[in-house]
Amino acid sequence: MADFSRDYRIAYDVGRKSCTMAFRCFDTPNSVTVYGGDFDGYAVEDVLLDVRRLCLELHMLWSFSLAESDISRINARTCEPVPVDARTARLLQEMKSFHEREPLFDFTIGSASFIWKHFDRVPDELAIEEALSHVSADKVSVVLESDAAGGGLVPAVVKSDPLTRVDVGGAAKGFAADLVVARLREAGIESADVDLGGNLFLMGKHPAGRPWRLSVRIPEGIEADRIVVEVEDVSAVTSGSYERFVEVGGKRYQHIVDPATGRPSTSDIVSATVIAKSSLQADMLATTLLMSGSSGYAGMLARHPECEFIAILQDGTILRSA
Amino acid sequence: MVRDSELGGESREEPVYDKVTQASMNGIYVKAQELDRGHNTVSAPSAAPPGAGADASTHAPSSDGSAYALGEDASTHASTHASDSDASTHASDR
Repeated sequence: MADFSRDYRIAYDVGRKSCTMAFRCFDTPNSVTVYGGDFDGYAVEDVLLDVRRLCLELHMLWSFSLAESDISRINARTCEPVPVDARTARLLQEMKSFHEREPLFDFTIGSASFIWKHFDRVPDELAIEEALSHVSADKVSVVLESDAAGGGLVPAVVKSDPLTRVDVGGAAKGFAADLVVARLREAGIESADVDLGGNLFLMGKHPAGRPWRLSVRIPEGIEADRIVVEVEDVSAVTSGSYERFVEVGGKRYQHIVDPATGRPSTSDIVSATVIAKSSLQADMLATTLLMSGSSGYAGMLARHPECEFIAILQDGTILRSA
Repeated sequence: MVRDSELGGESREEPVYDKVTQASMNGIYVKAQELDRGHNTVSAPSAAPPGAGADASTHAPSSDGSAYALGEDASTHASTHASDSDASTHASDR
């Protein structure tokens, strides 16, 4: 068995102006760097270790593969109420609420994305149709039920279709980033950059006292100018079809499954970046923008004027809201 | 390029950007065979060891016995994010 106790590292910069923790979680590398703290003691390290512990807890709750995770228990073939952690309940409620504004974002896509994740072969029409019949946000409810121990009410998830599967992939790391930032703020941290597998939250100002300069990666093979945006105290999340894809029969499929078709999205957007005050919102919007394609871009801007959108199209065209 | 002539003529490069946002694994997908299902609890890390905290030091990992299973030798993870030697050079294309 591998030694998983060695999955993080804490280091200071020269001059001890910043402290970085790199750690493995959510099946991806993550890092948190805090600036301007009390680096003479271990207080900042305790904060960072607390952040890591929080992330590990969330992973345990939301992993698809851990049999006892909230998500695995919800996705079991049952219509019985499944007691869940309050954070899971809130995540699902947020996704359900977002779905009402953006129907393209459907957290019950799990039934359809499940059959594509294997990618040994392209699923046939019948399999896709069958999987799609279980996709509907109306089939999942978050309720309060009596604690088995009689200790009061606890959140639980109820499905009306035992084969409906939830997929928190388009929101989990965003929600986790928001919780991490809240934890850092509680500890008095004012400036930090949080990177959960690419989901960024740039807290406060850059330590030099200016806004953060954020660049958006241009996918390989795309001819486009570098994009640099100045931001303060916001999250930036990019969803793209260039990092995760699988080739089957010589054809490339991206990882986000369109709930309208049950097939991987064929959007003309290859990179969708959203900058928002909430990482959860940025995460869900980035996923939705990627699926919506350039034809849905203007509508999303109109519905979410508080956010900044940057879309890179296959032909190198860049759409920017600001 | 910003030249600090008042400070002895040393030049210091201003970063064009501090961080890069890019697409990531948009989900928490862990292959079943990579998991150790027998260990799925998280315990509190121990306190930092004496002597930890020196500049650019690499701390000994926690001895919390964390059973968080990732399916890879976690010792290969530790070097993925070295701390920057200077905050102004934080920019990096990942």
